[in-house]
Amino acid sequence: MHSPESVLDDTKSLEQPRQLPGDLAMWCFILAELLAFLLLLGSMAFARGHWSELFSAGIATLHPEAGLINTVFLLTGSYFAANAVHQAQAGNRKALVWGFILASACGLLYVGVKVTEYSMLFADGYNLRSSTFYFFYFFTTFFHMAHVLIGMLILLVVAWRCHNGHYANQEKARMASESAASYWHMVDLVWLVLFPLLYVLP
Amino acid sequence: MKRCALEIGLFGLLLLTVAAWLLGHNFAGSWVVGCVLALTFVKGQWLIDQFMGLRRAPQWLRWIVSGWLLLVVGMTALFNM
Repeated sequence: MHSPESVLDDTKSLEQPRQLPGDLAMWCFILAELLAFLLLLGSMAFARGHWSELFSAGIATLHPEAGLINTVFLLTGSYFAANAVHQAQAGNRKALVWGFILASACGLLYVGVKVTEYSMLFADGYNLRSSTFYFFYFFTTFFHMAHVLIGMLILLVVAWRCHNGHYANQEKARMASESAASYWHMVDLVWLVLFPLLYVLP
Repeated sequence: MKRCALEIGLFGLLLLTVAAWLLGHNFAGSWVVGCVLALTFVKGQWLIDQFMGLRRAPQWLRWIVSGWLLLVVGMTALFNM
């Protein structure tokens, strides 16, 4: 049986018009990024199937726990970002600022684990030119990590501007926070596909 | 949004991640690839709907992002099963 609160929520969601989360320009940027990642991940999936022995040998040298920990960091970061947007919609700007800072901190932890993993592989003598697998591994994960850094920068800039009262009204703050969070979620979505390709699939 | 929906979402995503990871590291075969990729699709769609908030966005945008996910997971399945 529905509680009065949940019935009220359902009624609200039926009444609310469908609304773009964030700015249209940001969504054009996100869709262009997704197109680039589609080509990259599609090529990687093809290469993984075509040179399966080479990829299996390469994957065996990776650190699967690092992949699992990084997934936890990125999902937790996405939670903080989504919660911050939810709070901003209710007019709680302080919670928005702290939510975006915590999401960025999760991104920083991700980068720390990734850099550690790179340094361990470099120490073992692997680099971009070692084989087709390592080319795909370093190129794709570095490209993705660069997007994590861009996402962190966007979140921190929005948090900083919100903290300093740059946004004249709640609507502008909502727009900026939703745009920043959408980009962050895109980075997380790409990782959700990259994670099984490199760390899970047998 | 219902109270605790985001927390439940995070917990579900983490649970599915660990389930996929255990599956991939303890079993082998085409069915494992299928199961792991199915879990990946569910996780991705969950993120799209709940965290990205596309469940309440214009349908065309939700279709594009979900289509992207389906295409990437489908290509992985096609080349690796």
